[in-house]
Amino acid sequence: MRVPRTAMKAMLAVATTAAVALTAACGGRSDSADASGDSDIPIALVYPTSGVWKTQGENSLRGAQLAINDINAAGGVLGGRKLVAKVADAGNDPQTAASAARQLLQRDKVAGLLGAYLSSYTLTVSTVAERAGVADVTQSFSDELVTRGYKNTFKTTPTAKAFSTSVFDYLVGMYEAAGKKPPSAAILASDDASGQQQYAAAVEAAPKANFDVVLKVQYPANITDTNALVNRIAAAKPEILLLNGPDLAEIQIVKAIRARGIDVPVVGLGGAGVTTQAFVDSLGAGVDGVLATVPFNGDITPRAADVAKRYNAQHSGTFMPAESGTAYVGAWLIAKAIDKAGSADAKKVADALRTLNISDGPAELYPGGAVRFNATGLNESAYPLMIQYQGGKPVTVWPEKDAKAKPKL
Amino acid sequence: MNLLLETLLNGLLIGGVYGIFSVGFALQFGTLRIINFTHGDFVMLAMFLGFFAVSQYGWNPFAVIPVAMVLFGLVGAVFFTTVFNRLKEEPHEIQLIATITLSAIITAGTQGLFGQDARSLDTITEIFQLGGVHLGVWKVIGLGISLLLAGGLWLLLTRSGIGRDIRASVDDAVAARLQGINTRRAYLVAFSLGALLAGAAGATLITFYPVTPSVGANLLVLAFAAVLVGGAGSLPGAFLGGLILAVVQQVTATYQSPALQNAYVFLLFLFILVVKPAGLFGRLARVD
Repeated sequence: MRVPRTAMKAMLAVATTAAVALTAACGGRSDSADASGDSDIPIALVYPTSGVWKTQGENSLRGAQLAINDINAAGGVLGGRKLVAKVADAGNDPQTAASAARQLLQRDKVAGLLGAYLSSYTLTVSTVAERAGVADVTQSFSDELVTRGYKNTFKTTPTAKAFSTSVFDYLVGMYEAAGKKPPSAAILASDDASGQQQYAAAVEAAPKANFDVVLKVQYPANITDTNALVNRIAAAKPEILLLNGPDLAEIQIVKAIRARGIDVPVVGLGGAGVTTQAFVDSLGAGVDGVLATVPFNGDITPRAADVAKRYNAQHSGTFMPAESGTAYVGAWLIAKAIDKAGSADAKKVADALRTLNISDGPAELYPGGAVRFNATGLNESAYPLMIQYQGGKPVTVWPEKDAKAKPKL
Repeated sequence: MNLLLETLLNGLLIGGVYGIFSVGFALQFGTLRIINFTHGDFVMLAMFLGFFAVSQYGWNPFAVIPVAMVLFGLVGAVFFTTVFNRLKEEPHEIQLIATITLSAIITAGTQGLFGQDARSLDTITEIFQLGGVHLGVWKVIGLGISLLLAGGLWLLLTRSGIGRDIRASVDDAVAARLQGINTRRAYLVAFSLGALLAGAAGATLITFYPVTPSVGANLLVLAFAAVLVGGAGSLPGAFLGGLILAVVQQVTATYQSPALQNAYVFLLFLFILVVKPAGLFGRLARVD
């Protein structure tokens, strides 16, 4: 029997429509996960997974995902409901980050948001979250995040100011404890906005801490040949090097001074350069002696050590980066707030975060061992840790009460 | 004292590589009278070749240099036949627009492929001490290779048949053709040699200098300055210009600020332009 061509076309059309309808129905089902009802509870993870900050964004994502797995394995939230991650790429600039967050919040009814690693991205993403009435639990450092009067920004880490002032306070304490006089110092920073801030702060703070500044240089952030800088460091013979800059320049400088047998402590000022796996990998044994201040380190408590160990097993790194640790804590805080609120409604979760006061569970991963947010949304109990690479791994060396090893100075 | 010595020596070592790509640039400009804006991009591409060959495929950086020379020599021949040979008879503004556009395409294409991030062979840090002065092993090797290439080119141009043809074509193309010299072949060889030198320079430079897709523009500006400081039309002048610029850069970076190193290069450039417009070794008559 020959089927007329028009009939054939009609059948095809019907079949196609049916297929589309069926797919849509299935899609609808999976999309129905939202903050109400008995289904999975979505939380938004907005991190840069492309562009310059890709590594740190992916590390954050991995930390948050590990927390979500742990939370679900421990029975989920609200008596058995599971958390599910909704991921958006914050891209390469603050505007992209904001529109990625906006699209995600329009599409999914999330209980809370984590992001967006870099302060300048978090400033725009938290504005989107504020307008949507969704809590942004963030690990970013900028002081501005908690001075804008926002109700829905929750900053779990110390402020940028706390990081820059703590460096010299900590160093003074470390040298005193070691019975050494304050060292002569070289200060090198790149000439971009953040580098200039770090440079000005260090140049001002060093003499106050009785550090004899024997060399201070600002260099172009896009420097190609660090040779002249290295020669100057070698000639100035500082007892400590305070260094800020892009990853590549920091790696080149530290590598070159180590190759010349200059094994003085190097302190990473601001930025994430010296705390990346790439930095550790490319310096090899030369990384030992490098110091940095971080909001989290995997050795601080047994619980942190356990999380870091499982993280490393999954990602074949030698340590859990600070941004992975802080994202891990962030996801747990949202889970705690959901249970406290007894609801996955974003506004109720934000309310619960405002009055959250915990000193167990995720709080055990932070120095200070507690998480509670003040009226501005800042976690008041957090303070920076000074780590030093020893045997190729970051070890907490200051404050003394948290130290796991003596600093090598 | 050591700091000064180290600074000067490092300038000379880096300057050798600046010297050979400046010579390549000068050779192409001298023969074709075209300012080849893609010259810096050739160096950049050779740096990427070196970067991937060494970091991904474990090549010895030494082995990359001859490969880059052959490869970029061939690419140069293709560029000459398809683009530059045609451009030769065009007005200067057309030549400029064409090579600037080509350079922009190469830069953008590389950026699309590899992104904007800087890459460096930071695995290579061997240094040695000479009387208290620290020198990078690869910088010394780089200067050695540069001197060899510059010497080889000098011999080729002064002692071989094709060298004589190239020089004759530069001096007076019409007269050269009347004498039965194949000027097109002379141009082709000269242009390819320029590209070959860019390949050698890039493959050497990557051992101590990070590469980004836009590094070519910086290098081209240096080649420009080197050629004009040394004297347009003079190949030894271009090589010496490269050495001088690198020394100026190093001295500025050490005693002033790394941010100012190119400012001083151009200050020197302006100074030479005022007091000796033909450059240190140039003859004004040879500039069109």
